[in-house]
Amino acid sequence: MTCYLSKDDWHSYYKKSLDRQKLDEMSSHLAQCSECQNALWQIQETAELLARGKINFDPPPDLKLNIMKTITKSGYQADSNKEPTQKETASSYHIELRNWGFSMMAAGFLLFALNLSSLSPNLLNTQVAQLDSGFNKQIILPFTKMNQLAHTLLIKIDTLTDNQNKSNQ
Amino acid sequence: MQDNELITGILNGNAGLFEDLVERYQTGVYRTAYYYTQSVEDAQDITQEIFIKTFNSLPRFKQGSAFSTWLYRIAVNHCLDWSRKKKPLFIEPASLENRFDKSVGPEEILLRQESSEEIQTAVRSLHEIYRTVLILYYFQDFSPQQIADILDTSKRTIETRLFRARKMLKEKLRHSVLGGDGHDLLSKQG
Repeated sequence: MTCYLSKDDWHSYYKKSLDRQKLDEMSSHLAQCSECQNALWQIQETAELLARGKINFDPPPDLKLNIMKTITKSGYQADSNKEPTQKETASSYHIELRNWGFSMMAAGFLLFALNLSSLSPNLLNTQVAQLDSGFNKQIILPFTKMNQLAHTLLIKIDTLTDNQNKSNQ
Repeated sequence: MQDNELITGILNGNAGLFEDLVERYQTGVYRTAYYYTQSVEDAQDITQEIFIKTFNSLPRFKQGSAFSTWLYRIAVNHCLDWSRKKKPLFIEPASLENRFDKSVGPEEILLRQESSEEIQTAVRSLHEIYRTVLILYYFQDFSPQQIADILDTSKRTIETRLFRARKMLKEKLRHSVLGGDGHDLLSKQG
């Protein structure tokens, strides 16, 4: 007959946490083995002793509420600290890029407008002053010059086109 | 609803389902915390921390395994961490009255309180590995296999620890707490 004392299964046997076959086998053995009877008796004795130290009170009624409140609160905190989504990141990037674009265009246009006056050797500072002392008036000047340049360019293109047509004929 | 179904729901965004898990396990976790702390306030704080830790760790829970085992692993580790950092100063007398059946008389309650204190003091004085197996096996009614799963060790190791813990407890109660070999709380056998 196998002695189960060396197999350390008696705590499992006491809790009935073994399969049926094993429990039956150990029960049969127990009837004949005083060593194993003693081992099981000690477990039972300890269980009865410690039952006196067992507590039966329940947690306070607000415990669950406090847990759920904390979880909800931390959930909100987690939301506010969370990483931006890919869509949000892309959108922010485009807005920033657009702002930069507008800024660069405005700066470029201003520099172009201010430097365009140097293209006209005939234009004197006094003439600029005559247009107006205000900045708005100064802005008109490069537009006029641009119109003149564009007009000249179109005439030259027309001339070149005519010449080419004549040569083709 | 089963534990795993609740966890799936929580992980899919319904955090309110965690309340069901708290309802299901709060008593066991709270009592376990009390056995380590011997203080209702500390047990309450620790139980709260354990459940919050559990909630935050849910994405790491392996579906298909037992949630209770996983929860108690977190709980025991948290209680052991607490025990290593802080030693309980005293047992709150007011809380002791609530432990026992109200139908028994005040004298019986007093005797039971004294006995309970002695036993809990003896359990608390054991090394943490023996204290833990006693708490889980005798107070929380886990089987050796369940304790082995919680503590991530073998069933055989748990059975061995339970036998050793029983011997150590007997010595503590006989010499340190109860003050004599003549006390009949434990037999001289084994």
